[in-house]
Amino acid sequence: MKISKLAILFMLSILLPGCWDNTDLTDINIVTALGIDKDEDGKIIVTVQVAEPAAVQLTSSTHGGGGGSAQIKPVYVKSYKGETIYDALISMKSIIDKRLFLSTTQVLILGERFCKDGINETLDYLHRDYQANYLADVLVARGATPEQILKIQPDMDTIPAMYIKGTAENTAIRAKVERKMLIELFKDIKNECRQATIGQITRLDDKTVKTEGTAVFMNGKLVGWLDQYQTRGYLFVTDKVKHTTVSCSVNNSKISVEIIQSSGKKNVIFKNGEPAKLSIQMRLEGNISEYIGKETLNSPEDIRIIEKKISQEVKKEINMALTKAQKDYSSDIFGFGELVHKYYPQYWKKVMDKWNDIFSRLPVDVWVDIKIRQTGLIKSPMKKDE
Amino acid sequence: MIIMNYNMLSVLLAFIIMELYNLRRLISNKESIKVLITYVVITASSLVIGLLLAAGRRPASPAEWIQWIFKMIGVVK
Amino acid sequence: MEKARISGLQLFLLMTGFLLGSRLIINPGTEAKADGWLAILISGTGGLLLITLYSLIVLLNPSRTLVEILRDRFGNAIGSVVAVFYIWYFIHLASLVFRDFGSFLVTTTYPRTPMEVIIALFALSIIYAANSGIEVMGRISEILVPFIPFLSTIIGASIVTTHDFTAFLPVLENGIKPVIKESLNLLTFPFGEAVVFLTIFPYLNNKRHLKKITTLSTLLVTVLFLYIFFRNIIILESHFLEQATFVPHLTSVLFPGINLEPLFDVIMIIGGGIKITCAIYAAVISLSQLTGAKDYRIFTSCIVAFSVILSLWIHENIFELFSWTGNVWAYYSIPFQVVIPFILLLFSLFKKDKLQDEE
Repeated sequence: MKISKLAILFMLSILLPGCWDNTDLTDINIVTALGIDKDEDGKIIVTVQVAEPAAVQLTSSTHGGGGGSAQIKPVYVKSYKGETIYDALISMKSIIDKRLFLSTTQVLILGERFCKDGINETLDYLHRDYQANYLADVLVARGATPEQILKIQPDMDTIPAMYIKGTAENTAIRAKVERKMLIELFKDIKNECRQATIGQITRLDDKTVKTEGTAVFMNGKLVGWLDQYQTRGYLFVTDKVKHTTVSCSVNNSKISVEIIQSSGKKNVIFKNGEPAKLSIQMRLEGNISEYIGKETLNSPEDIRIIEKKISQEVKKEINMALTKAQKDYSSDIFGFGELVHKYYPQYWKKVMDKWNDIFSRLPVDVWVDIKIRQTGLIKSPMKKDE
Repeated sequence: MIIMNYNMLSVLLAFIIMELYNLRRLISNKESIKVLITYVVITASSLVIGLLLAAGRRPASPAEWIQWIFKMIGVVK
Repeated sequence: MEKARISGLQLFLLMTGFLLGSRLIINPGTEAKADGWLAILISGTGGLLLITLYSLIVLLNPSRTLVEILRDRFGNAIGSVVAVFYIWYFIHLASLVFRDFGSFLVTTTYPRTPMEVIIALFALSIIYAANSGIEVMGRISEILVPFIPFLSTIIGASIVTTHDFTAFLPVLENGIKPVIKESLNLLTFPFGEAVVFLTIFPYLNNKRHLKKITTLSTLLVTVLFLYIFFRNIIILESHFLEQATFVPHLTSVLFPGINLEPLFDVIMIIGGGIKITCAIYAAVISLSQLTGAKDYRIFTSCIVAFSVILSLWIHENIFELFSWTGNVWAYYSIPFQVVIPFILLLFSLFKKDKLQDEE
């Protein structure tokens, strides 16, 4: 009896500390953002942004009160070169004190040169490692290195990564940048029926970044960019728009319509066993959120005119995105190939390798239907009655 | 020189202690000689294999024998 | 034979936990890619037949466990030899599940803990469970097994954000061959492994419900497999499925906000624990009956120790493990899971009258 009790005590002392893998919070560096770029020689440059929890608390509590004691910076940014991502991360310990803890990564920023050389194979580490955060937001830095982006000191948040993540997240109400999580990027890379796209980030000044636009990939290599309107056209087609605002002008007055619901349906129409054309059907619902003008807005006919204008606007954006993808980049970012693969597997097997060329040549039918439901608290626009 | 895997050794040690403790019960229960022999054979074979594994001298495993047999018959390529 | 009885519900849950077991780590139907659901349906039907076969054997040989049935039907000498092979098979099964779990935990949760330590600690609780007897195992499964479908459903329902419900198309893209192969794999792992229950069915208190219980359990497992398959393919797309080593783990990591990984590990350990315990229990009971030991418990620790050592010995790396379970296991299992039980059934049917006369 005594022996078994002793044995239990002994077992508990082994089992409770969490085996070999226990790590104290004080022994790790909490990585909030990761940047990956390449230099001219093809070496990988990894940038980490590490948050210091104690200092974050300090800065937020003594904000404006004057700390007094020596200030520790809430975050620091370090870069290191290596042959692979993992090599760079491990070698980086020559300049960093503690273990890098990657599961807390909120943002992953890829450099332009890195993307131009191809991301298909090089991102392997982030997928293989057990502590990779599949839900991190991925962005491509345009006109700046990831290091420059991560070194900003925003006013809005003590941790830049959280600020960047916030700007990427709020695309849900503006639809001007694609929010791509790491897992979705992996899915794009793996899927041969669809080309990858990643949101774009640019640096404005020391304190601000802008997330707007999209980086277009072709077979894993960065081939070009979409601007904010083309991006929205692209998001409309791929059914990723949640809320956004589309503006148009009718007879010298400007109208903004808030899209509250959007559903996009794409299709490939086959004739005689060959794809004849692509078709895109959009069904939108919206409310009038702003109207600067002198007209009255009373009858269903007025609404109809606005609906028509807005649908033309949406159609224009979609066509712009399509033209870019088909003519300039010849990259099927919309995933029409998936439809061919699913519903015409025999044909897909034949054309798998040259699908992007076929896609570029196909004519497109865009059909947009918008229903405007509400007009807000007032009906006619604000103006002096005459 | 033989490089020993100490984790493996400690696991083995724990099992051996347990099995010796068990052996006492086996003898006091007055089990037949057949039972005793089976017990000793299984324990000894796991001990031997465990020591070989800990020493890094891994013998071909049953899975490999089975695969080899199936390859001979021609079921598995 | 142990003087114990388990209720119908306990057997149902024990069997469900056993069948789900380690298939929860390795995605059911991966090799057939988007056609995995077909493979699951085929193997579920086959599994139903196999498991009905096992219950028929037990019904035709009331209150006898595997070794006794084998000796009765094949004669003492041949029966004993076949029984030895079965004991080996059960130990092998237990060690494979040990290895699956060791690999899984080392890859995902405890990357720096040596696998032998993880497996050994796991084995200690298995020894305790198997020593406690079939009644306790039944009660444990009553408490724990309901968690598996419950948590799986929660994980699934909360992650499906993309509603691409056509992800399983196109049907039969690569022809029927990979589907057949995957069906065979699924039939032998896990459905056919229920041959272990030939030593557990006799403990059921009310034999009239045996067929109903086994059928229900197999159906539930098939439905759960289908659910897990569709969950994974909707979340991860078919192109991505083959890439991950442990697919269901990957889906559990994708839940935004909270970390569901521990929940998932819990499911794994419940399923795997029950599976190993059943296999070990079957091996120990059979061995004690074969050697005529008074108490089956004396063999538990040595059998568990042996299977732990075997699990570390059997494969050198994870690819060997996966390729072996994918390519060899099915053929290796067929004699144990299909051929011998079938012969046993035929013998039981023909010699039925003779045996009853003797009694």
